[in-house]
Amino acid sequence: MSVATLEEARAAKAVLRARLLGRLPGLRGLGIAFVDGGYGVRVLVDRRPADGAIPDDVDGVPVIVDVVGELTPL
Amino acid sequence: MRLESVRELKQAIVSDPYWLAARSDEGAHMAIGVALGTSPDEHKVAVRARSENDIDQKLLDRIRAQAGGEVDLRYTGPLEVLPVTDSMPSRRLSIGASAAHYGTASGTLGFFARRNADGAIGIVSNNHVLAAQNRGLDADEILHPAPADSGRSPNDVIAHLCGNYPRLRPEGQTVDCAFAGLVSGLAFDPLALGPAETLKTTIATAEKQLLVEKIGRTTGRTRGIITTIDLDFFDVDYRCGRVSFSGQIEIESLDATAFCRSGDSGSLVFTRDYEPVGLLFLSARAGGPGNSGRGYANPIGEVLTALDVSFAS
Repeated sequence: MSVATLEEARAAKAVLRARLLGRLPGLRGLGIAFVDGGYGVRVLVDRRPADGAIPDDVDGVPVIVDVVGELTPL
Repeated sequence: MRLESVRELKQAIVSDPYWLAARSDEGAHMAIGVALGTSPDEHKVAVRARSENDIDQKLLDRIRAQAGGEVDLRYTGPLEVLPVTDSMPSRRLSIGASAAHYGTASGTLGFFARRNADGAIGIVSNNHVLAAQNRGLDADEILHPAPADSGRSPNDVIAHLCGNYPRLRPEGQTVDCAFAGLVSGLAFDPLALGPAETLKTTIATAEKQLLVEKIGRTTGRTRGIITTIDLDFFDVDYRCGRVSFSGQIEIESLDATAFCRSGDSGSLVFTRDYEPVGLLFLSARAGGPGNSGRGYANPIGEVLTALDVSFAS
């Protein structure tokens, strides 16, 4: 997997948003992560998703999944 | 003369019937005390009067004789009572101080700002700190320290909420912020971050992995790293309802120490070069080094635009 640019990561994020929003229970957020000198997509969930529910990459852009638990205003 | 000698002499003078008679005479307005010298035994009897016309010459000669000439005579000119000023907190306000709406437990003063429309100076923090999650009304009192830190009205009122703050809405939210106008006469350091550390007024854009810091009410000054940008949140639970955010910034601690905790809301996040980058508003309890959690911030440019303010300097 090559290093993705910011624009490629933003495009991948839009694809993943359309794919996951409303379909993945516990989805809390989607963002652009810094990965190995390039960019990737970070998926925030409140519980560990089922195997295969989230792809490892989108069009070659790496996808990182993070279980963040409860999100609370400080 | 020794200090004790002068004090004894002063007591003798003010007990002298001649002094008492001269004091009751409307022509004499003299005061007496101890004049300090440059060495321990160089004290004199101090005599003060507004002008020569206020001197009773016979009384002055009598004092000189008793003091062996060791008298320090000075004219003061007109005397007036210093005007009383409104009671104000004497402490200087600074970035990172405890501050919150009177109906909110705690929060952090993010930064000092100037409202672009009229130049008014105030403070910026979160809506959920200064405006109690959309419940705040125009001119509501903002306390320093925050109520959880024993701040009480009226003595600890430092600002009044500006009522046109951005409301937290279910969709399309980019900021959780509000502005409150500072009470006039309050002492504050608009850009001070610490000894010899000054916040810059040019903002940083988080498009790379920046090292950052914040100063918060609960955890003080902590360090972290921006790990994610353009973060869209779905369904953040506030008391006023669920809110979705877009374009947010994620920050992790550099070690197992939490970057932020409850009460740090509204902290300004700035780079190691002291450039503002975000306004802290949310945390995740899991993730990060040592599972210390993560912090989330509004991009500072969005905050300035939403409130139509600039950094005060």
